[in-house]
Parts: sequence; C-alpha cells; structure tokens
Amino acid sequence: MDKKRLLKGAEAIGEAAIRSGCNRFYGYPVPNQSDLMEYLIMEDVKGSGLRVFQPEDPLSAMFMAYGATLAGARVLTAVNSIDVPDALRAVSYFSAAELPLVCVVFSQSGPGSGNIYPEQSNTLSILYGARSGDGFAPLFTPSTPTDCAIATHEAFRIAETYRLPVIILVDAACAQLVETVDLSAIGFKGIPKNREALQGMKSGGKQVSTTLYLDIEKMAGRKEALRGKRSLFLEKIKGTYKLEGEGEENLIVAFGISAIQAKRAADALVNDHLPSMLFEPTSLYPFPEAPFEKALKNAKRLFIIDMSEGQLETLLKPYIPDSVATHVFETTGGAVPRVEQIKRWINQALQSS
Amino acid sequence: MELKFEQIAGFPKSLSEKPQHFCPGCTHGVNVRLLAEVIDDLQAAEDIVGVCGMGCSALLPDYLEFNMVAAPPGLSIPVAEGLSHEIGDHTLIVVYVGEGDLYGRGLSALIHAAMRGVPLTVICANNLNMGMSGGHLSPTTLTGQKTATTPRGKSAVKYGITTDFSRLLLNIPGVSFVARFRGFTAGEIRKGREYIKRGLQIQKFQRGFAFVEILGICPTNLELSPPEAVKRVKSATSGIYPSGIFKTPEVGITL
Repeated sequence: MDKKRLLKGAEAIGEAAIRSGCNRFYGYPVPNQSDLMEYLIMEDVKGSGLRVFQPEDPLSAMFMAYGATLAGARVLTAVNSIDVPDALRAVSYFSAAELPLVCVVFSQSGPGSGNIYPEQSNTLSILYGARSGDGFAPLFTPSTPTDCAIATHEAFRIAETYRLPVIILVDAACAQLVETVDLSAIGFKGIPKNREALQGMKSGGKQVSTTLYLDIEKMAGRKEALRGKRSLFLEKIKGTYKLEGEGEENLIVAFGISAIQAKRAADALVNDHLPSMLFEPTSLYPFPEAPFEKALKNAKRLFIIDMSEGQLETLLKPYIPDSVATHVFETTGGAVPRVEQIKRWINQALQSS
Repeated sequence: MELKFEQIAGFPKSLSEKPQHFCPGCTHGVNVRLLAEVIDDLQAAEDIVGVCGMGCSALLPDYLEFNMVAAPPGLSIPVAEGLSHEIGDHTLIVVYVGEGDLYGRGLSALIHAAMRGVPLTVICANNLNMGMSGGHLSPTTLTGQKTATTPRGKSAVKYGITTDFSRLLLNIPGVSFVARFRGFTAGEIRKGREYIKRGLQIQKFQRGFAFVEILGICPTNLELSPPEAVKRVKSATSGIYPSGIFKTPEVGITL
C-alpha cells in the first residue's frame, strides 16, 4: 500500500475513514463536504464495500445513517455550517440510542448563508448544541490533513468503543489545505465492533430501539445511565493538543487554519527575538484543561487568534488567571489571518504593554 | 364418534397481550392487529423489522412481538431506508406511521424513497388529525373539519383544499403498490388485510415500494361516539378518500 499521499484535509478524512473500517457514507452536496463525498465515491465505484448515498436533504442523510448504524454499519456523515442544526438533531438521537457516528462539520462564514470561506463561528453552537437534552459528543478540531486523518481514526475508535456520536470540526481552509500525508505513520488499527446489529428476531430475542420513555422514572433512570457513561468517558478520554515551545512568557492559542498561521508567525517571531509558545487544542470536548493550565503557568501574556467573534475566548476564559494579560485577534467574514498581520499585532501588543 | 377441532383463527402470535393505550373506539387497534395477523400468515416475525413514527404509533414496539425501531417525527422513512441498505436483502422492513408525521414533515422523504423504489412496505394510518398531540390540524384534515388549531373548521383559503396524498404516489415509477381501505367497515377490513399482505409480498420479491393507507377514525378528537364518528367520517370522506387498489405490479403476485 502507498505510504505517502498528497491529500486535501477533506480527502484525508475520507482516506482515514476507509482505513477505520467505515462502510457507509451519507451526505448532501455542499461546499467542502462535496470534496469528501467525491473522494469516497471513487472508493464506492471500486466495489470495496464502502457505499456512498446522497439522499434528498441533510436531515434525511443523518437519519438514514441512524437506520444503517442500527443495522450494524460503521457510518460517516458530513455537513457544513448551514446544516449544523440537522447534525445536532441527529447527535441528540445517536446519544440517546447509544449508537456510534462520526460526523464531520466543515465550518464556513455565517450567520445565514454567509459565504463558503473559513470561519470558526460554529464552535460554541456545536459544543453546547451537542449537550441538548444532556446528550454529549466529543469534538475534534484538527488543522493539517495529517491531523485530520489522525482525528478521524480516533473519532471512529471512540465512537465504536463508547457507542456515541463524535463530531470533527474542520474549517473550510483546512478542508482544502493540501499536504503530503504519511499514512503508514498514522498507525491505523482495526476497530472491533462493540454492539449487536439489529436484524429480524432470528438473531435472538425481541429487540426494540427507542428513545421515547413516557414514564418519568424510566426516563430518569435512562438519563442516570447516560450520565454514568459520560463520567466514565471523561475519566478515560483526555483532550488532545499540540504544544510548541516551553516556559515562555508569551502564549499563543489557536486551532484550525489560524493555528497553522500562528505557528508560521511564531517561527518568524523567534528571529525577532520574541520567542513564544503555541498551544493548539485539537479537541474541544473534552478540552485539554490540565495541559492548557500547565502552559499558562509561566505565561504573562496570552494571544488568542480566533476566526469568530470571541467564541474561542469564551471557551478559554474559565482557565485564564487574572495575572495573565489577554489579547484577542479576530478575523471574520471568511478571511484567514495572515502571518504578517499576526506578527505585527503581537509586536504592537508587546510594545503597548 | 370423536370430534376433531382445528384452530383456524386466534389471538395473533405477533401481537402482545399488553393492554394498548389507544382511546376507546380508535381504529389503530384494528390496524395493529391486522399487521400482526398478516405477519403471522407470512410466518415473517423472525425476518422483519418494524419502524414506527411519532404520535399514536410511537408505542407500537410495546404491542408488536417482533423487532421494532421508534423513529423521530417525520424521519421514519429515512430510518427505514438506512436499515434497508444494510439488511433489506434478507429482512422485511415495515413502516407504520400516522398521516401527520408522514404527509407533513416526512413528505419529502416519502416521495424520494418512493422515487428510489426502496423495497419497503409503508402503512399510513390516516385519521384526519394529529391525534396524540391533542387533535390538531393534519395534512389530510377535511375542509370545514374542526380541530384544536382550526376551532371554526379548516378553512380552504388558509389551508387549501383537501388533497389525497397517497394518490400523489401513483405517478412515481418506483412505486409498485398503492392501496387504501377504511379500517372501520368490516368488509374493507377483510380486504385491507390482503392489501397489507400483498404489500409485504411485493417487498419480499424486491418489487419496489409498497404503500397502504388505512383511513381511520379518532372519536376522542372528533368529540363523537365511535358509531357516530364512523358515520360522519364515512359520509365526509366519500369521494375524497376512495378505497381500493390504485396501483399494483402488472406481472402478478397472486394472493
């Protein structure tokens, strides 16, 4: 098998899904999502067992995925920002029925139809939307195509092991970013099935799959069980992150395409004798709390690079001590922060403080 | 002389003996029993998965003795289609859903699944209102009919003239079988049993999408006694919701 492949972020997700044993994809063509779907359909036509379906709308796609998962399939779905509510509705049902799902959200500029350029303004709606009805879904935020592939494989592993929906949030820029991905270095492993497929009763006693519990006590008991599962999950699975540098006074935080730009800016700043650390959370639920607090220990200045109006800052706020001066750099409307912009902004902030 | 008795009818094996929650006089009970009987006839209980929608049909998993999935409102067809992609080649998939769910928020999924000719048997319980929610306007509510959201009667100006949704399916090539019967007259109940059976047989032979609508009564929300409700619905629906087989495969599957 080929070791290195030139892949877009969206294609890396597709390749990782195939290698994680995914055998069904349901999606509705929208920008970025289509790149993933087109990649997978080429696998479908080869006849390798993966089948790709294009239903009439994203909501139907989500719930065809529900039926297929019940019957034993390992499913990938994808939407973009506009259809996040549909994805979240499915997440609620998958959580309730304890079924695995990997759902990719390609985030673009909003609100409304917005445009097709990258933004990170879905972060809070997904994070809190998945908690609707006290359900929950782990949320990965990879940046480079290699990270996308790693996150996808991990998402399938977690989804199948804990029988829950997992969301991968990728901005429109990372979806299109091309990189040589060393697939053999990712270490794809077989993911064992952790559930029984629904079939006719021939396979055993009567099985019923429902998320409706009219009895208050039964529903409370059901929620207690799901709560127990969430605690167990949070105990076992820790947030993932990437950290560059150590013990510096300046800490930059960013994820997605802005983390890639921030890294380039940080490298350039070293030449200006302004060393800084870069913290990139590659999962937001669970959030890598302990590593972030550790990175903050020696920091005096925090630079948050956000492609939304303060959503990343809202997320980080509980962890930031008062002693740390916080600077926020925002670009919205679909613009990617440029390296020069970030450099100039950090320089200015340092001079004024 | 010794008499030998052979049982020719009885309580269906596929029906649970649990008391049902349906209101007195409701025709859902008849529909569920018919489905159970047909599945017994076809000896299909071990090779079938049922999907029910939201509303009065949502508690069907308690009453039917085969594997069931309770789908979200408006999404029973996509869930059934997803199941069909996995197990459709060796397992029958029957969908039992109310008209508010199927013709309202589920209509686009219904038409597209029909277009794709997904081998499914869809049974739509049409009782002219959204029963479980408290008797609200549904897509099949008759012009002039009083519901909780049309207290002065459904206005044709505001909500349009009553449309027969099941006959909308007739022009779709992927649809093999469309039939309707009234679940409140003895003669038609006997016929309807055969319609459901034929639908399942068509699915079994992978002949495409089969659709049976059962016209029912909802005495509670009509605020009428069951006999009065039957009388009223019979006269009000004649000509609007006719009974019979509207479409069936040309090359026969004999009953």
